[in-house]
Amino acid sequence: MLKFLLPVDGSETSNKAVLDFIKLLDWYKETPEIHLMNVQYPLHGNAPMLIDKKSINEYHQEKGMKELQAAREAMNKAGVNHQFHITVGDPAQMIVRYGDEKQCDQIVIGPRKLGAVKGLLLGSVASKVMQHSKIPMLLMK
Amino acid sequence: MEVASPQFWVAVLQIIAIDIVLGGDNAVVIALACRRLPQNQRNQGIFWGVFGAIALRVILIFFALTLLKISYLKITGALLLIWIGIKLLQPEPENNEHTIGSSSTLLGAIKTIIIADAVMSLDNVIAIAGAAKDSIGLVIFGLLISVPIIVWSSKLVIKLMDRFPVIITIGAGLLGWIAGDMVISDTVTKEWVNTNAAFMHWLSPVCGVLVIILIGKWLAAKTLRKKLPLVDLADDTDKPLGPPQT
Repeated sequence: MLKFLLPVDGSETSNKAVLDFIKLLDWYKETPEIHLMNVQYPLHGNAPMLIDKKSINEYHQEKGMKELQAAREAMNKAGVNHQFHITVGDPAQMIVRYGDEKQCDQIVIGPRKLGAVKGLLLGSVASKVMQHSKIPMLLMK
Repeated sequence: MEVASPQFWVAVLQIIAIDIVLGGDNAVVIALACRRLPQNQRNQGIFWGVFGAIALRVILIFFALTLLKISYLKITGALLLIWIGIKLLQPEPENNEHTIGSSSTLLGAIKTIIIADAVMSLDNVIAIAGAAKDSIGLVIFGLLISVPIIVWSSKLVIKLMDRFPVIITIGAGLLGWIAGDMVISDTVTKEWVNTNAAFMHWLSPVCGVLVIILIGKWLAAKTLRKKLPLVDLADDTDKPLGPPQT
């Protein structure tokens, strides 16, 4: 069975990408194995020194679950089986690593539509993943 | 310092930048420390935590201004700043077993908040005192600016730092600059530098920046090179979807 990785951040574009992807599922002979993945930014500075690991993990987890909520609801509504994951780190880096280490076959991601200036300044997570990914990617438009 | 002089405005910008990079996470730490408290105690905890953070800054800054006139204290402050700057560049450690206070009780949360407030206020105050160069007006300005950052804008500040990690590097470098400046304005070094080595006025701050960025980046790279295993906080399949957690 094909194994697909869907990075999700709870934003409108990312939720729309998930919805669009569900519509494409009948392209495949058998429904692929779907892994939703959320990446949380690590905490800066003094926070990790002063707060115990358990609380920090709970905090990341809570935020991650919130960001996964819409995508999971859409999947459940369409009756698509899926798994979900939350990791902490640089989003692009973690997505690439996850896809590589868990031997996914494809990354499905909805790039944010930024203007020329904003795009130059911010760069999207999707474009960074595109640069570094070792596995094929599907960009939802 | 004259209000119209460029040095004044440079100092103002420096102080704002310091407040952003060093004060932004204070509110987060307070919120995290209060997380496991029951709802009614949580808001109280957050309120007193923020109040304490501001009060401690006010108290510490007055001490700092008097103390910094004593010989060698500026040099000590400079060394502390270097350490704070290097610390700023380090990634979130993976295994911090040393837990300061369990936050499931009000008392535990208060303890964590007090320690957090003290550590962060101290960082902030040393840096502001250094940047303000003995101008009381600037010090008070720095304090006033840090209050809204702690109270309201920490979410925005943290989002900015997530999106543009370079802000943190710039902030750390700025601390190095201030540290370099403090070393040569200590009562012991001031006279000698002014008469014998005026070039130290730019060389010393530049060295401060280099020391923090080079050592900080090197240490961070060393931690990151040990490729950490992927930690999955929610490895779950097909669990029935509960109501959204708030």
